[in-house]
Amino acid sequence: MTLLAPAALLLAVVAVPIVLLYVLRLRRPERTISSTLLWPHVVGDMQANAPWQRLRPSILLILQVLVVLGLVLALAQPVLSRRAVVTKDVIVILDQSFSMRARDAAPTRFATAQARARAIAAGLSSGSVMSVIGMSSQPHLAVAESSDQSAIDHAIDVLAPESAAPNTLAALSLAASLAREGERTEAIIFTDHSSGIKALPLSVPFTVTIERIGGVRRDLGIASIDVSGGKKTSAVVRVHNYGPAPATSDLDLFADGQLADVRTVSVPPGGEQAEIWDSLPAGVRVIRAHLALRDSMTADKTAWAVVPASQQRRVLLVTRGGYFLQTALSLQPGVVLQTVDPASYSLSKTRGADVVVFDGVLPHRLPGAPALLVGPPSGRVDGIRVGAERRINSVILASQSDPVMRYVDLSDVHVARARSVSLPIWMHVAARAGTLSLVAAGQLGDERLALISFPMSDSDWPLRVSFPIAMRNLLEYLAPSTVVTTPAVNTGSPVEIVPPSGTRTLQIVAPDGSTSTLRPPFPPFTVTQLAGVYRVETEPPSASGVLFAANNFSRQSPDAPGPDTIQVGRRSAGIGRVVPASVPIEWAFCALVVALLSVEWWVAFKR
Amino acid sequence: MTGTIPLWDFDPQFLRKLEHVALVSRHPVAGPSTGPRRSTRHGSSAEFADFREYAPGDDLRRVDWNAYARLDRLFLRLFTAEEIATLTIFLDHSGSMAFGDPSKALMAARLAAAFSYVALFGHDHVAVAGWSDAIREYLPPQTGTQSVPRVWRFIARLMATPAGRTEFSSLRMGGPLRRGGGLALVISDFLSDSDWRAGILALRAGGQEVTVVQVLAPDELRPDLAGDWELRDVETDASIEVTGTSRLLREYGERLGRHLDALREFCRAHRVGYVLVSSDERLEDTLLQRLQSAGIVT
Repeated sequence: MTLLAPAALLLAVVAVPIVLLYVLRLRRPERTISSTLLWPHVVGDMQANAPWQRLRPSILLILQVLVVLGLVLALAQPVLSRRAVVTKDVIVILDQSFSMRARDAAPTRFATAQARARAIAAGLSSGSVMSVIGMSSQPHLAVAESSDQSAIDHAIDVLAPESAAPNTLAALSLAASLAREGERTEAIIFTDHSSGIKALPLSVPFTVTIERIGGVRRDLGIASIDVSGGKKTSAVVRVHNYGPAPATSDLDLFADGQLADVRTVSVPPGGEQAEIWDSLPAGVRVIRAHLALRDSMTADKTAWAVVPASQQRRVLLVTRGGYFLQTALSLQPGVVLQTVDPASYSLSKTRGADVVVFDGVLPHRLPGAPALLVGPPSGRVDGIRVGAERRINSVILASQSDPVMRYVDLSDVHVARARSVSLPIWMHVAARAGTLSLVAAGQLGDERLALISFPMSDSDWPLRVSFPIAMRNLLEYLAPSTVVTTPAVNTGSPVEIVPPSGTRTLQIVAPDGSTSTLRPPFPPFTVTQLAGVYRVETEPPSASGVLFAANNFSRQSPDAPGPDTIQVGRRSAGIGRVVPASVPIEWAFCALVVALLSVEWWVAFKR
Repeated sequence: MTGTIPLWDFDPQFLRKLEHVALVSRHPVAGPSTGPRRSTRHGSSAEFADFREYAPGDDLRRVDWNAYARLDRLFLRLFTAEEIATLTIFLDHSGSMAFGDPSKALMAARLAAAFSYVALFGHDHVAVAGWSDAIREYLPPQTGTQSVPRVWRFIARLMATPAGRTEFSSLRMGGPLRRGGGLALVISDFLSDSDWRAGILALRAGGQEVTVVQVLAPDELRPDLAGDWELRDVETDASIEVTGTSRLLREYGERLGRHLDALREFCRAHRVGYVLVSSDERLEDTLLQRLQSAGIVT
């Protein structure tokens, strides 16, 4: 038998006053009577205290001392260690904060915590269950109330440190919800000295043991990296010293994989130093910074940044001078408009263009880029046959669900004439008037094509609000762009990716080459545990590829000294090693105490 | 207990009633002289038996005035059918008799005084033996009503300072004191671990017709004990700590009942008169009603 809290044995001194009560004569009021002849026969052992100044054997004294000893032993938390068995429900909370990556507890603090958690799972007795909670910024339940060791091990193994600060309150709330009614539960938080967890932010109905792994780490890390593009590329790298001693290291800067500069940084304990580069080459996409120093932490030695790329569309407008269309296209954000007369148009001029717009022109061949035909003359190109003009007398109907007609209201639009068109099977009608197709779009292979079957001069559409919206939709459809709202994130943080309309899937290629696929409605991408540069690819492919970087930036706290193990909650605070593979038997002593009290009561009042 | 026991606060009417009360002998007694009860030594004859010289205190009605006329001396006529008995009052004046409210000593003294008054007015002789661990005080037989003050003073002095430890073996000396028979009245609380059976039997062996009057205080009959106390025996100095509970008092009551039953049963078996008296009873009730009911007085 092992005592987890042997200091409680000191409480055995409370037995001394009880013995004294039997040894010392109590000051009772004296009453002289004629004879005590009859009293000894009825008093017997009813006396709470024997009237003797020397200790006499008394069953009450023995029982009361045994009660005290039983309570003291129960408070000392006795455990049987003959078999490594846990006889209570266990909730293991693994701190996934960044500092758990430190290697001062080999191989890392987090790996050590995982090993200890697996040891607890291995010692789980029958009838006991174990839950595992990953304590990150958003704690999650890895496995709930399971007695399957393989399932528990798997849940422990898939957890990994993140960069965000741990949310202890949420993790304990989650743990409290797992405590089974009437079952003895113990929660164990595996964390480190950096987390600063010493007490509980809320009251929980079970014992919580805080095991702090590792010691005081030495860590000189990159705290942030910021870059900007333009004519020159600039970069700012901040280096922070989280360790207790000054640190010096070479800081290497790479531009698109090429070493651009090396500087030496010296940072005092708790201090920070910023290095600025403002003349890096233009057109650089990825900047990487690296600290050469080797210390307790490796994860924050390298950081990446993606230089923001300009979201520009080059639009080639083939027109004889259509004012409305030219104006609408030129006002679209990010559009670089180039106008060319139909007479001088050739396929070679379409090279480099993201979209080619034919205004009143029907080319002999469609260009190798997405194209928009507006008011084409009669003729035929790539399966599209443009017929004669017809007057329009019916109402114009638009499909709001079509990405081309999204937010486009054509109810106030009037079109005098439109040509009849015969569309290929790969094109669909987005707006029509009777049997006449007014707006159509489609995709053949990798190229997209859209068509407006009437010239702007035969309609009042350019005067309506819906016209620039429709132009925006058409450009997005023909040359979709992918937008990453947060091009630089901490590892583990979600990334919101807004793909162009019509995108069926998003594939995100991680730094290790693994891919993840997102489908509509494209929820935030959360698998950003690896630091590095992620590449986003769309299906169908968009005009330009998108990159974003994930780094191990974290607001870390220095390691604080203190005991490795803290017990809080139902039991009094104390320091001691957790013996997860032991059988607590304080319940047996509590039951013994109850039994002894019952006997003592019977002896005192019934016998 | 200190001070003088107020023996003389008897109501005159009560005393007049006592003058008509007589001690009852359950069988013929052998006394020192003739008196108002039958003798075991002279058979059942009611004829004149003898004369004896007058002594102060004798009933003048028994004076033989004819003999006085002839001899100029006072003689009393004695008859064989009547014999004077000696009532010996064995009065327990141990320390335990000092307790009670009113004290057991007071009740015992008043009982002894009343009995002696009845006996002396009934032409019996009265002797008083004060005993505790031994018979320390002894008043030889007194006769005649003029002896009442003497007897009462002796009783009052005896019971003014109860002390000592009750030892019933001392009653064995009572037999030799009154060898030859007579009436013996033992007044005690009988709260002693000494052998009271042997004491009573010793008196019976001496030819005494024994009557036991057990006097207990109300607190001993119905103790009112609450809380934690250390009880100390006034005679043995032994102490015991008790916690007064209803169960404890119930146990005491049962124990006391067994003790009284044992004494009562012993008396019945050995033809010993027995009566239990509480020290707070009115003496008139005790003597005129309870003792009459018990057949001890008429």
